[in-house]
Amino acid sequence: MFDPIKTLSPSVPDIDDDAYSMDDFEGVNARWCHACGNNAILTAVQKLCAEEQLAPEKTVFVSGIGCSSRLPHYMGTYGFHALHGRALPIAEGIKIRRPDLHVFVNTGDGDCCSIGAGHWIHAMRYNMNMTVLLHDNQIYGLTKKQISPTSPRGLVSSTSPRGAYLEPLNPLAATLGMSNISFVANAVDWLPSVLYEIIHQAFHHRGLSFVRIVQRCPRYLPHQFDEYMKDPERILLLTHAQGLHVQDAVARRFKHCMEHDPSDLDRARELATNQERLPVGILYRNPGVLCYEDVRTSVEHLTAADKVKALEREFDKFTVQPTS
Amino acid sequence: MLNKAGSSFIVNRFEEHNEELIAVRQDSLLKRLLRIHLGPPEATDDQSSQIPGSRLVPALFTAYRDLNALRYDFPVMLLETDVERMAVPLSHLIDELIRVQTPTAAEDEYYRRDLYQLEAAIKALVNEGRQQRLSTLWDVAAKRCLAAATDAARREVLRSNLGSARRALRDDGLVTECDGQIARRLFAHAWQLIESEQGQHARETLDDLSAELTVIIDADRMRSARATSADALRTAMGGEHAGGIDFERLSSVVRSNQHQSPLTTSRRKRLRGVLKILEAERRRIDPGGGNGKSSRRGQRVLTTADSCVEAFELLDAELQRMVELFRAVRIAQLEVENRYDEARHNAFFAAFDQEQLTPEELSGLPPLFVYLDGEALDAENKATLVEILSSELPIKLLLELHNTPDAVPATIGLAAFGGWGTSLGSMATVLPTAFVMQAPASHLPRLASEVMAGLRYQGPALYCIYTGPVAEAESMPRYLHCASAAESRAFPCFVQHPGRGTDWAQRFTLSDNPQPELAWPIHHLSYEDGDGRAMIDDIAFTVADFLAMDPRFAGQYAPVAPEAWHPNMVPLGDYLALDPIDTFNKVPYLWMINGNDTLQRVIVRRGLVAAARHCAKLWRSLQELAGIDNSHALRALEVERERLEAEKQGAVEQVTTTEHTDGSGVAPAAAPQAILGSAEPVSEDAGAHEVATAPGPEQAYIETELCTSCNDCTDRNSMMFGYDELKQAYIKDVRAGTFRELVEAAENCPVCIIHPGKPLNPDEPDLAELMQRAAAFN
Ligand SMILES: Cc1ncc(C[n+]2csc(CCOP(=O)(O)OP(=O)(O)O)c2C)c(N)n1
Ligand code: SF4
Ligand SMILES: [Mg+2]
Repeated sequence: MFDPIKTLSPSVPDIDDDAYSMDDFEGVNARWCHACGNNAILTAVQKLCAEEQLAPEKTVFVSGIGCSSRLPHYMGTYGFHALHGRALPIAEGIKIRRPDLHVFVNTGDGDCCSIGAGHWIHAMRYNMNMTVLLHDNQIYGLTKKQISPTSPRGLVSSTSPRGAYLEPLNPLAATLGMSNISFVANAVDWLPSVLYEIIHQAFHHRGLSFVRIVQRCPRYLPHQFDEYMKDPERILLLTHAQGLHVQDAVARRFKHCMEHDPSDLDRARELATNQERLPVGILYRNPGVLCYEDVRTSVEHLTAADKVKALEREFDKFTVQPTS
Repeated sequence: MLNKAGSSFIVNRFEEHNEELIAVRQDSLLKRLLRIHLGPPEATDDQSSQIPGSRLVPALFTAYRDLNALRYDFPVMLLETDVERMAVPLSHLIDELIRVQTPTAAEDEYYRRDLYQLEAAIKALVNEGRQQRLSTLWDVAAKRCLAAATDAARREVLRSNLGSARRALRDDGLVTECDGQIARRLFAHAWQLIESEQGQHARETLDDLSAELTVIIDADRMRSARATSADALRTAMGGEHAGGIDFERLSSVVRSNQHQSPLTTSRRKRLRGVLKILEAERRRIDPGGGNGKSSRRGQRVLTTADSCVEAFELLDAELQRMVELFRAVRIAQLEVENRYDEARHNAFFAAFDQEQLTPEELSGLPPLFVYLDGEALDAENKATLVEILSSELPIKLLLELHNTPDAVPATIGLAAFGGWGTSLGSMATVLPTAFVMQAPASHLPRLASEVMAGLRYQGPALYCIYTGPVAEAESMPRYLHCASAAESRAFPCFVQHPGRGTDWAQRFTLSDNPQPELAWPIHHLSYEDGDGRAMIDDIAFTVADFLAMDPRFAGQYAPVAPEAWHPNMVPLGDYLALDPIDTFNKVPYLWMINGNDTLQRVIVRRGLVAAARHCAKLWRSLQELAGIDNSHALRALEVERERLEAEKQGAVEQVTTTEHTDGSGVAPAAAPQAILGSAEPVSEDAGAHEVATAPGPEQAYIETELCTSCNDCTDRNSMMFGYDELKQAYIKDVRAGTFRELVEAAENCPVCIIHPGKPLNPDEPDLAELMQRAAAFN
């Protein structure tokens, strides 16, 4: 689509302006371990930015703390590497003040489902227009194999030497139980075309799109997802006219491929808790949910002087008056 | 000179009606009535008790004789705060107050009555000639109502009802009657509202751009040697930290941490120059300046012109200024987006001129509103007017039409009622870029949103507004006069908005006229006949009913006493629907009432009938534009109907012939198309194609589309493995590494998509073992 601002004349498309390529979205060299699943997610979002021709200066990737949360550094866009568990509230702040920006959130299973769980519930309810990618490797990777809320029962880790005692938290079932949700999907890092298509749909959904991505951590949990990777029988591909579309060649690889209408919340909840097969696709989508920024964003445009004034006002609240 | 064909036409004309013609010749009453109808305006029916020109009123007007007792669109309040409700009739406002305030059921009736009483009192004040805001009028009217209340208890209820309604009243603005100035007043008001809306929008754009440019310039300044010097940092941090911080160190830390280079001199100069122009425009829009909320309502000065020629000149000067401004805006937009490329853009902006302005930018031109008096336009202005309407310039023309007596000759001018202006509106509808609205002043409140639409529209707009005679007439209130101009089709309402689409169906509407699907609106007339029986008739309201109120045309009407009524007298509406040939023995009449409320038939003379036919033709062409019984559509429908019928007929005939032939005569069915397309059998297994193109077990390859970009193979040997433009791996150069590397990459690939194939170098050590390991992946 042509953007009049970029052109010489607002009514003539600028045919000389170069299109963005994937290279334009490269940041510093990724420093994840060899074969880490995060690389696949990085490639998918870079491809999305290039295909959608998102202006790098109008795009922000926000993250918390963790291996996965390093992703913004590897993007050639704006980024905000925030505090542990706080990616979502930071992203909400960006969105409410700058609804014109494309906001993405990268968060780990520890970042989102553990320390950031409170924010998670409310971010889903606010339903602000952003794409949230949960890199779920079922472990704290950055802190070298500490147990996470999504770690399976019995997992031996540095913080659970006798094996995890509790049943894991299911991020899909949890999200599908929250209020005011509008988009929930599940992806796996090792099926690049499906991963891309899900992120692509999530990006085009207006509202908060929550994509849980099963992400391999070859360093600490090398064979964790082998059962699904090696055996396509264990994957249930969800397709629908209003949901995921996949090429026939891809669909043929999966014995279990079913039509799932993403407006059916009850069915989505059933699928999310299916023990036998891992659902991959769009579980739930409701485009009718109101976005918080639509009702709360102020239309007031602030000049530089206004911004300084507003900041001063905030800072004044914290002024400690020196005592003589 | 009369040729043969012409004369034979005249001779043959009434041949078919010979018997009727003889009947007319034998009917002396009918002949007398026909003579009145066909005669000159001065001829009178001397047997009638009425004198032509005495105040007879069209029967359909009876209900409107006392406008004060009616609730209609006037007086109207011009709301200053709400663009979407810029003109609200007082009656609507009162209804709204009644609707939102819901006292208990028992009080409800009193509350309503009290508010209606107040409404009447406000109307009386406006009729006295007061031009005041509603709040002022309300208070005066309330005092009058209270003073008039005789019963003390009632007065208290009235006081409390009016008080609570007053508290619920949210809106205020000037209240005005439908007087001679109404069009100008309402347009000036609408323009002011639009302007503050557009001015605010412009102001916001400029605010944003200036703010962002300032950020770039400031950021550059912050990187300068001066801003990062120890002294500057010391001043910035304040005295409290003087002892605790080594500012020399801080300065070198700040300087070492700078990633971006400073702005080039040319860019800095460009940014400053552009900012200066933007700032000047901000000050112009909002001379108050400042960032406070109240001052953000941008308001530009309303420029008016009294002639089309002057408008053109004013606009030209403004255009030059706009070119300068939009050049700056466009540079600023490119700069803010960091897209200004000196190699490309310098030349473009050096040659930037008026041609480069887009319609959107042109619409940012300051207000240019032209007031025109329809009867006072000279030829030059008329020509310029058409030029303006054919342009894309945002000039808004208000053309007021009064149809003053001297502008329309009393007899032959009938056909051109409304003069040049009426036809101008219809003519302008063919200009593709012109917004055109035609309406009488009485309809302005209900067309308020269309008025706004025309002002918001980016191109030229013409408003042809019929405001009635310049001087106030005692005979009929201006509102009623104007409203009946539309009702009678003498001055139809229509709107053409080019912004709504490219076809007539989207851009043109007649829907604000009464009963737009009919030639003339039809109304019930209830009356008592001579024997006191209640009767109801459906009668058309025609242009002749409207003109009956105009003394200039009095001679066109001739009342007939009931004794002289004849069966061949036909109501004018029906008469006009007849083929003119069939009217030779009919006498058209209107129903009118006299001062004693007695119904009377009034013959309409030939000249006025011709005017009515002309008016009907104009209306019919407007109907066609609006798609009402559109002749093209009807014709297409007819052709299609004929085609279908012919087809049906053909099918029937075919069935009949087939029944008579035996099967052997029938040609063989054509071969299915698909067979012609491909000579090869279609494979059941579509996947076979993929397998066929995949290299064999000999050759090394990667299933690229399944690669997860994990970097494992590319980190192993970046000469051997590479990424494509989608960042997915392929074998870049199989000879750039060893077979061992290939096998190890295959073993480590998390998704097992690397196939090592056979070794290329037979001398590589441990080949036997490696080939065994490779087999698992081939
Ligand atoms: C407030 C706070 N508490 C604890 C930590 C230590 N910490 C760093 S990363 C991390 C967990 C990250 O796990 P996850 O979000 O799953 O990311 P991954 O590394 O697995 O991608 C923790 C607990 C921290 N940085 N800040
Ligand atoms: S520790 Fe695990 S999650 Fe972190 S970079 Fe390495 S492989 Fe990836
Ligand atoms: Mg994790």
